[in-house]
Amino acid sequence: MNDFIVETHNLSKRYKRRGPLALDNLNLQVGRGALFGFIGPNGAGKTTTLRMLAGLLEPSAGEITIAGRSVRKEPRAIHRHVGYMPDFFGVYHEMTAWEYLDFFARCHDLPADRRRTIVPELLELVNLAEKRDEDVGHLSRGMQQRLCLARALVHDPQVLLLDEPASGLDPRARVEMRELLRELSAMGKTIILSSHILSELAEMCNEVGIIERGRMVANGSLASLRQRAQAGRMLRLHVLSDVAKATALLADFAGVADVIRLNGGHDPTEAWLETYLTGDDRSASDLLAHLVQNGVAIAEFRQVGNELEELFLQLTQDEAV
Amino acid sequence: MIQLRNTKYAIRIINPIIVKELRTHMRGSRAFAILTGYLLILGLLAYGLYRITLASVQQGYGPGMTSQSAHIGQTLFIGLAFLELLSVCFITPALTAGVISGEIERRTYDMLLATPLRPASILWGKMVASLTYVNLLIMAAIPLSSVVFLFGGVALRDVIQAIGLLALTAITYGTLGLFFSALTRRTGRAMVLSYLTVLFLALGSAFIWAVTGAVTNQMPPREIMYVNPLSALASAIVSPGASSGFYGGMSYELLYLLSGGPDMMSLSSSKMPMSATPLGRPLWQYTTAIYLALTVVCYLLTTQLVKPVRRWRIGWRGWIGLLIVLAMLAAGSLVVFGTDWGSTGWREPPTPTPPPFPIVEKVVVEQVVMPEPTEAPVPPVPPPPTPVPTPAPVPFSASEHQAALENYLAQELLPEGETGFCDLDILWTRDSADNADIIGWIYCRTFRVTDGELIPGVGASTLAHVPMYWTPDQEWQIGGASFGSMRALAPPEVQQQLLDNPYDEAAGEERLRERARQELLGE
Repeated sequence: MNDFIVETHNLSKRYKRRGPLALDNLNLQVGRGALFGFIGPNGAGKTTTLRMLAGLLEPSAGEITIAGRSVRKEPRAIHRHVGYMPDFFGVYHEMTAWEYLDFFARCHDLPADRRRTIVPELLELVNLAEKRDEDVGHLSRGMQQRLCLARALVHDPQVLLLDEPASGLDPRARVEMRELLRELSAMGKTIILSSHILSELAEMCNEVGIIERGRMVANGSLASLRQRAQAGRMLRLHVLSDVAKATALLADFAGVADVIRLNGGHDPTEAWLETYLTGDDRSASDLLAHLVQNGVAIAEFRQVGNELEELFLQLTQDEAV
Repeated sequence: MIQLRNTKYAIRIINPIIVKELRTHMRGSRAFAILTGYLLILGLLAYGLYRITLASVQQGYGPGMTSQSAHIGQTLFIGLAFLELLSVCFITPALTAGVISGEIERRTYDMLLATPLRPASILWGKMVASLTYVNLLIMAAIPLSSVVFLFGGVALRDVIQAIGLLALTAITYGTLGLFFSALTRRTGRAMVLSYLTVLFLALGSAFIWAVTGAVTNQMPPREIMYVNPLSALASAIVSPGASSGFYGGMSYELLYLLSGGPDMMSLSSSKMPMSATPLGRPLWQYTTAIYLALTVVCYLLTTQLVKPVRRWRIGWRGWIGLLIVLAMLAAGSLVVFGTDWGSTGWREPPTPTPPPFPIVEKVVVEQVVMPEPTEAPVPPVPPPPTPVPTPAPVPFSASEHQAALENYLAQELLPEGETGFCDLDILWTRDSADNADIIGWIYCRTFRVTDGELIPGVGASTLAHVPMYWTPDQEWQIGGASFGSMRALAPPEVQQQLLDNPYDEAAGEERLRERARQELLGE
């Protein structure tokens, strides 16, 4: 008995006979309780994978196992284990928020007494308790998205499949969504979500799969991915004393490629420096300690640009070559 | 209590979709506005028909006619039934063509499919919910339609048949809409295809029928009309023998044409050895069978179309269901078509005489010019308030009037500009002080003379009622001819007698040809 709740084995999908492969031998293993992020550019096959996992699309080849059940053999059984939230939220007009949830609870065959308790609970969970009697179509985009998430939860599934849950949300709604997902993850749900925005996933996922043109390019924890790609990072320092010494210390440090003085000028006591460091978080902290121990006054020490962005570009570039 | 909800294998009767659809359908003012508007229109139409019928009935008959009320009842009933049928044809596709595609377009379909709800249950729920609304319209009109019973002239069986046909048409067209909705996955396209199909069934078939007749100059095969809901309704509710006449603005010719002409009428056709193949059964029975089959086929196809995965893979439940449905259809058609149900006995004519020449059937009564309904209702017999004592009527004798009647009918029924003759076979007469009623078979045919040869043209036969009245000029006058009032007028034993004494067409044909020879060729 392994601990993977979602597994795919050589999963492939062709939309047209002899057409291109939308998904090419995807092997995916998601552990129980994981918060798994699917990253990839548009059209990479994220939605295809999620729809197949939800039993809405027939794989051309390969196997999917969810909670120990084969999707191919029991396409309907998995609906009880999986909550699916599509990338577009479908609105039924002339329906209030509670009716919306009640309807899907009925679809999941929940008995009336269970429905009476679960609907207010879920509305409470997604912070929509006071919108109970509001028309679904009149809710804001963020509220609709949260309601849709609540809908995916009516039957208390073990696995949540969320397709672009944060797309089209304003920053505030995005933060709320993120908090909600963390809460659900803490409740023990396995969450698989997709996004083409990497920072979004980096903030909450503990596992990431990078998908590109239907192929899984990399898969694992963020740290391991970073290592695997041997990613470096661009660091920016605001030095308030002895610029020359700081520059020399930096240049001598293992893993530092080159040092650039950003703001020009020749003030020996104050400068913005930028440097490229190869190595993990540990070496960055070592570098900072090294500078401070040697008496360099540092006002700011930060990473420039998005590490994941670069990681992603690097990984997908390899694939493209 | 009946357990409707927790059946594991069967499709649940009450499913979440129905609950949701009914909840949202009936919400807001739209549903009630449509219902109210529909009933108002029906009511206004009924009132209008009533006034027009009243006016023209008073115009067309002498005083003392007992069947006026029955005419009004029949006219109202037929008018309402057809209006309801038209509403069903127009409303149903609009209600169902967007049902599956709408879910897909709203992006809610995936969410539904990701629940344990079977696609077949989704379909079932959608169908029940939308048909409930159409049937609500039909049922809501029943109290209004029942006004016809105040006037009489309409049998309860006719009403039940009409409602049954309406409901069946609604179900069939609803299923068609669902099928196109699932097939095209776009509401617009589904709507267009559904309306085109309904248009084809209702008007296209009649058009093809008429064109076939015009091109071949023969009675077009009535099989073409099997799919037509209008002819089905006409054959189910128009009294046997009703074929011509103009009551209250209702043109029976239209119904006559729709119900498939003279040998398509249930009663007359089953009695008449018109052609080698007996055409006994009324059209609506065929239409019912075809529509049921169409509904089942469309529904089964749709159950496959709505599946996201494993389309066309039918499980054991599916096969058992399919077998049950097929068995039911087979049994149904066996009951209807295997046994000689419904016809009061189509008997093989004792001597199946093949027609001596190809009988060209055509609806001749189409061109009969009838009194304009717009004329002021002038009773043909103004009761003379003169002190002069009116002479007592001479006792009525039908045979004395035979020739006059036949000429009158020829004038009334034959197309203008054609020569032809009518044969009246009087079956029953009723005589009161100053008016009389005649019921009999009329057989008319046109003739042409080409190169000294007698060429028979179009012909038709029908049952008719001819009222006579005693004029102040002290003679019996023909009050008109009507073709719809047999049931209301004749006592039951007479109706039975009509049924039991089919018109001997071969003899009538011979008599007409004899007259034509004498009068046209001078032999």
